[in-house]
Amino acid sequence: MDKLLYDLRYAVRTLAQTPGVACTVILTLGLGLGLVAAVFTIFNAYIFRADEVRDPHELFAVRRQPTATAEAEPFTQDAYDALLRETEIFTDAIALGPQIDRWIDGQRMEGPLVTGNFFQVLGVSAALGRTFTAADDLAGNRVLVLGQRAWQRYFAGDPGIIGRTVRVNEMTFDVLGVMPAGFRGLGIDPPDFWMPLALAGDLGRGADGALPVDIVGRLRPGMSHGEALARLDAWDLRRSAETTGARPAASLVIEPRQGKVPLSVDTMLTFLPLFFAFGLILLIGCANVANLLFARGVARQREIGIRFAIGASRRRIVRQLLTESLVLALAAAAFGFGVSRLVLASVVNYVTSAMTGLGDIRLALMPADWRVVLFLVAAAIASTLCFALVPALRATRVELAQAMHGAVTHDVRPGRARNMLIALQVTGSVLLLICAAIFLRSSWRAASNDPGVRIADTVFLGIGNEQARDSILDAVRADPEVAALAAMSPAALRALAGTAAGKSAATYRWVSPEYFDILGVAVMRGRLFTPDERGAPVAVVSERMAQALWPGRDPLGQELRLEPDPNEAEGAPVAPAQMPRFTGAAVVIGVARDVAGFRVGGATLLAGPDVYLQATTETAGTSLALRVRGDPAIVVRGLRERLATIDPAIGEIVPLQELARMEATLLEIPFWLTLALGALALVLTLSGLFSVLTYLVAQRTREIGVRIALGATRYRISALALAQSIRPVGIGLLLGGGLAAALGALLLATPAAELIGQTVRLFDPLAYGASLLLVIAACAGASLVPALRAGQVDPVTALRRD
Amino acid sequence: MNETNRSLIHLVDLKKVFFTDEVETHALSGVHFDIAQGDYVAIEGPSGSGKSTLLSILGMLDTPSGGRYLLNGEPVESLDNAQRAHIRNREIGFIFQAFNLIGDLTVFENVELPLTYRSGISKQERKERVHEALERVRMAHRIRHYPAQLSGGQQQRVAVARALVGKPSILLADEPTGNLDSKNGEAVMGLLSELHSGGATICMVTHDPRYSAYADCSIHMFDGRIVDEETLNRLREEEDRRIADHARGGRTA
Repeated sequence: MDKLLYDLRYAVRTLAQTPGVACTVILTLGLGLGLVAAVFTIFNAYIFRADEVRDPHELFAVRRQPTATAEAEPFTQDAYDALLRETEIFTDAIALGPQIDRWIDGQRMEGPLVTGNFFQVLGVSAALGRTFTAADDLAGNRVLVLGQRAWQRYFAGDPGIIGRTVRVNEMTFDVLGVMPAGFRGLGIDPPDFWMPLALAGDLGRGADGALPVDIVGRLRPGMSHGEALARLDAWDLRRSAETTGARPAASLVIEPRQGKVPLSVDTMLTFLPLFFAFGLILLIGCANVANLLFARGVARQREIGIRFAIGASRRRIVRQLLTESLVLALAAAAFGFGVSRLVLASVVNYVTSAMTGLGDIRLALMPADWRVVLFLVAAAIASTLCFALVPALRATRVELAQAMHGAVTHDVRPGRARNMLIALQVTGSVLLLICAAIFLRSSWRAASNDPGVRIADTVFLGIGNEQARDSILDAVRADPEVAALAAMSPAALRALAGTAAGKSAATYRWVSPEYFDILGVAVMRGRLFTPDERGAPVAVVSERMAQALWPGRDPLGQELRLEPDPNEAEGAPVAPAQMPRFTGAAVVIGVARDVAGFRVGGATLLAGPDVYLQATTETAGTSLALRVRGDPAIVVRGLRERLATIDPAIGEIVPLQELARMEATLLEIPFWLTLALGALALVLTLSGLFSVLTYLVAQRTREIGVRIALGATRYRISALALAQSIRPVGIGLLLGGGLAAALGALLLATPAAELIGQTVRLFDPLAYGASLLLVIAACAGASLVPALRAGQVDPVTALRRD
Repeated sequence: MNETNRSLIHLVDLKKVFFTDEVETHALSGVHFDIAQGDYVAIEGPSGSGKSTLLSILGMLDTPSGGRYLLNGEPVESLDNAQRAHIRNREIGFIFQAFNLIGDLTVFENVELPLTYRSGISKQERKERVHEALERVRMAHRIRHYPAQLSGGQQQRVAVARALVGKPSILLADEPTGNLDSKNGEAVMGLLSELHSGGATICMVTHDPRYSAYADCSIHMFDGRIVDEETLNRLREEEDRRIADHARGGRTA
């Protein structure tokens, strides 16, 4: 301990005497550690951090195991009541109803319906006001508890919110309380509100006890997991026999429910690329620091020699050097903690405020707990070994007798280790920049993609409740901001299109005649549907379809047969069940321009269809396409508010422009991420390259003086200095490019290859070329300054040097 | 050398060969001698004679290529690095020409340094021994100073205190006055004589006959071998003549 304290004291003093070195190391490492800690904070928030409830380890959820042929059947509210009544597995249990979204005082919010004992069982109190009691969970009690985020965001943290009446769609609710910030209600993201389960009927979710619920209970003390499961199975068997007279379709499982994502291969695969990308920065930072320590090791050879001479063992000196590095790494970890908070706050702020195209993203700043601190300390120790061990071992490999006479073992030429570190840094930079360029190009491609439909003033409106269709249509028609409306099936349906010549797969869509005008789909030949053709077997086909079915012939007047496609289930877009399927013959009356559509998250929207059939706005299952006046985003907000009073469960109302831009917006996230990381990596690499070359030139000043004295030109001296960087940079470029290509090939070998291939061009030669050129130019720039400086060495001064 | 006492250092046919590319340099060729407890030995010789190499081997900073080296009766020529470090720390005290104090450490810390590499010495004991060593070299009043704040002579006195603090069996001094003016040089030599009078065993390398006179006896080296004083003078003269002839030949040609 005494020696450790001595080493620590000396380390702190040494670093204080070289503040430049200390600051450089702390900044470089702190940046890398901070970035990795930011990823870990997210990982921790979702994977490790249990919800802030009392004794979360006692909480277990009961559910049915899905079978090979059937989805897991949810429990009902009746089953929950029976389980509580008929078993003693749990000391108490709660039921979480479905997540619902509602307009509360003009803001769309989401939250679950819960039993009145929800908060008591979880052992949490309200931060403001109170939580539910059993008495609140009675039909007609229109009360709610707000989440901290919703209170802050939508009510500006108003302390007077308690007891206030808020408008929930067409109803009024009293706010009972506000929950504390850390409470997530056993979910991953904190809900905006909680409402009593007894209100399910009022909220249009059914009140006959058949409401699907999740059951979560506090396991009775002393009861093992196995015993609880055995009792549950027996109860389930008995109940099933009583209610259905049959055995349960699937067995039960009982699993911990602590409000976190289970650690699985899938979650690891999600986080692995993030850790890898952010870890690269740390690795590059470590390489920079290692290079710095190599140089410092040479400068400290005399001191190290003295320590050896007076009896220090090599292990002792290595320990001291590692202590110095550890002090730096721990200081860097403290700085990194700040960096991680700043990065996360910036990302959350960017995603929630700048990326409005993705809707209301429910993302809050992830808290940092002891695990994050522990991770940072562990990462600091690991980094110390990474950047300091080899330099320490090298620094203590001195020729003692020479060192005692002041002659240091000059390590002036770029050794293998130094070259390897530069190559590693360049590799990381190239890899990240190629990724950024690929995402940028893909994002541009998505943004500049012409969907072939008019998107600027078009809004989609989904009708979820057919009973409210007429009222919704009346309201929309009467809305002064709506210029026109058309009906359309929300998804294209698949069929087999047959002619006398044969059959081919096709898609068809029900549309009203106004659809073509609102979406800007031009009819190239023939005509559109007329109102009196409603229900008549007439069709408009796309140019592509016309060409495919009747090549070189006039499609107008041709008969087209549509019949069910036996392969429809495979990858078919999901169309509402009430959407009628067409089977039979139709006469082609027009040919419409092909529509490319646009991609959103792996699906192509509005593409095609091959055939249009006539529908009206009254056709069940159809959605509406609206042409609006003014800013679609503002119009949509107004429409949502107005239509929610008619149908609280009104479907999506979304500007088409927003949908069309979504793919590009989604691609912008990895682009900015990899660009920021790539830029950071490049800056660190360049600073490392610059420092190393500057150091080498300084160390070789005498040699340069001799060369000049022997007749070397300044140009040749500069070229000599420049040549020192060519090899490691070249190796880094090859490795980085190769690694990017290998990663691309690996991704294309996964089951998601098709989706990835459609979204991004993994082998985009322009992305590769531009990234490599950028790195080459930057490295040349960083090398040029020390190289030119080498050419400026004064031989007289250099030769006089000691 | 005092042959009546048991040998502290006993060298038998010690050799040291350096290999540089394909060139083989014999720095030491069959060196024999003994140093007994309480001796004060000066090693003299011209530049390149092998005296510093010999001192490095004596101080276990370097290893011999052949021969035997017994320290306190124990063979030490084939010890591993950790064992050599252990012996250096306990048995040997170094005084260098360039002082070799660590600039980041105060006088106290520089002197304390060898003790920090030992286990079993309490902080209090370290403090007392450092004070004692600094008192002996009359530098206790500069305890908080850094080496850069001291004169050359003062730095060398601190270096002597550092060599003494571990109570080594022998002090090895490599040209201890080489970086000092004559006044400070004399002072340091006086200090070494004082230590010797107090019982210290000293082995000093010097090329200055004035300072070798402080020692009880001198070992003369030439071309890696120990020679007597007469032979050394003759060899020196021959060497000088050869150089002069060579220079003359060069001019006439």
